[in-house]
Amino acid sequence: MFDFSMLFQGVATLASSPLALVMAAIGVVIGIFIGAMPGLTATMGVAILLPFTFGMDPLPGLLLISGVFFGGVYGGSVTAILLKIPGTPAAAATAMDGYALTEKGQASLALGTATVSSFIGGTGSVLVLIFLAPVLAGFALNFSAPESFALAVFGLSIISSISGASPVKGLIAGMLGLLVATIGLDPMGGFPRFTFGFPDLYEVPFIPVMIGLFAAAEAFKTMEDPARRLGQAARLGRLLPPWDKLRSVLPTIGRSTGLGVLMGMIPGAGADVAAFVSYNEAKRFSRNPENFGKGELSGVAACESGANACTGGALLTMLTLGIPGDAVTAIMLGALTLQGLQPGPLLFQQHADLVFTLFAGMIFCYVAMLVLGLGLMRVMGNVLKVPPALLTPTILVLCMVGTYALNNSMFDVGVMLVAGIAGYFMQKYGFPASPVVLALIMGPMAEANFRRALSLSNGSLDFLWTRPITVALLALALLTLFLPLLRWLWQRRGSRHRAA
Amino acid sequence: MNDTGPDRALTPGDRAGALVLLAVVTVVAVAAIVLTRDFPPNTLPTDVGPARFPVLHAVVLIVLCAICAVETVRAPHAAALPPPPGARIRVALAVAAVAVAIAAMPHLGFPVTAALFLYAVIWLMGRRQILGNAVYAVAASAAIWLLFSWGLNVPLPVLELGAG
Repeated sequence: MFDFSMLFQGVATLASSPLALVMAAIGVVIGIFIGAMPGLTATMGVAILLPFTFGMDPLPGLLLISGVFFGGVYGGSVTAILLKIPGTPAAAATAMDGYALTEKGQASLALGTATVSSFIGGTGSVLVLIFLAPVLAGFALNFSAPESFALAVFGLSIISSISGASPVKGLIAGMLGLLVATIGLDPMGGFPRFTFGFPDLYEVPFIPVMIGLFAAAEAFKTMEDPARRLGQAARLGRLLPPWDKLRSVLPTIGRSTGLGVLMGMIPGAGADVAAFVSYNEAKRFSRNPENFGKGELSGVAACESGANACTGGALLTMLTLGIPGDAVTAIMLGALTLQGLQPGPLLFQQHADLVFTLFAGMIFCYVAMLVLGLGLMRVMGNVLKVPPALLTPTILVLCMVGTYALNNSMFDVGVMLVAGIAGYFMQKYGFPASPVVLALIMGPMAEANFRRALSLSNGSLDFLWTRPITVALLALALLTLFLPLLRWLWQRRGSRHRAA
Repeated sequence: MNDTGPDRALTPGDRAGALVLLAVVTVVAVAAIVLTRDFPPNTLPTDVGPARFPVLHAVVLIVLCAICAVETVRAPHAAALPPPPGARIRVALAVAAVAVAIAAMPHLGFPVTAALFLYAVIWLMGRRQILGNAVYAVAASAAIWLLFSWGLNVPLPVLELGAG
């Protein structure tokens, strides 16, 4: 039976610690800002702020880092919606429908829905963390190489549903992404593949490619017609979405929250995977799947709630098992250890008071994110009023400096430019960019885990059909991959018959 | 994004552009297959080796490009709308400006390069306010430099007077 008294005590302790509350709010603001900047990630924000927490008490220090983490995941959506510049890889999914809504003059609705969805997804995931941590922690242990491979294949199958008008062009973009994803060190033998002697290419330059494909390509497109403005989109209206709109996306938010928590728990599958998987499921369950990619509000809600729900999932395995779900929680693991806390099952027994106060603080972080996010949005929305002649060059400078900031490498900035040129032509001739990003996330995960699983099973492919979770995920992948293709072929056949 | 699915009408320019793009992707895929011949052979009996996945992706990519090329050739014809005047030149100059900025930044430093870049691209976009553009370019590059260098501890390149 869950001990509610510990939770109430945690809330009381938090309420009597104003410094912790202030640090949580500061962390959220810094996180939103970092998340909104292309190239700057929540991981970088947490790493930068970590040394500042050394001299603090555990509670304010950990809440500062949690605030940056949560704000960073959410912040990426702001520029994705307003400018089609995803601040984070997860926001690349949000950009698909979020920017389409901005073009329709519904930026306020998209931003408000993204904020509320992030709040519900994140808070829901913390509640799962509080009440179901010990039960769900065991689930993550069932995921080894075969399951991770199947999850990556399932993720890749989503390409068919984010391909827009032409599945073939979407698949080409996805396969190109998979080919690019093989650049770097071979995951098993460490042999450098397609690196041409450049050590900078030992790891796939994923974020520079993403910034180039989305932000730089969009800036180059604007250069074609500098007089083009977003018109009425420049006006931000009411930011809190109307109840009827919100009610219509609540089932999507609930489903995406569940998916996000599960994705967060699986090592290697972070907010980006959760956002794309949630988007795919929202489209699958939607009565109007054809509206996705053209400004569908549930697409924005799904991506944001899924990505933010990942935070609780990642913290769950980190706190209960000591296994970080992603890079941010890996740094947080270090922060906890430095504060004299050892993550694992004993943490809940030996430091229950601090753990439950931390949980209460995490919920406060999400409340602060909702309030501050809606407030800051009014300020950030003004970016749409900046004339394109000033905004576009500034975006290009931010693309360069954001990419450089990743590894202090001008080589990465060059990669960003090449990706920007490729993205410009892809956009011009109807090839979607999102499948490339998805393939860059999932490709290395699929290859590494397939080969690892093959080695673990002594070269046998048995693992593909003897493990229930693997079979379920692969079946889901086949369903996801072929349903849109069959639907497309069916519609094409129908339109040809009508034309004849 | 141009909605250029296979059954959508294409202008001659879009058709030619899509075919060129498909040809470039095919060449990249073929080159990838050729390059994998230099990869070391598989040494582990329980592994597929470093070349298997790139070759698989490249082969599927070539097949998909062929399918898409056929669809593009067979797509109905549409009349072309004239592009905005100077569109291609502006895009080409913007790309060139980014390339020059990348090359110049390690030598001139971020603040100087960014200010010159901003001024040039703002001018390229048709805003002809000599003083206003200069003030914006200097202010924006200084703000970004302060933000990253001081706020986020990112060591951006700076012009070192007397160096070298």
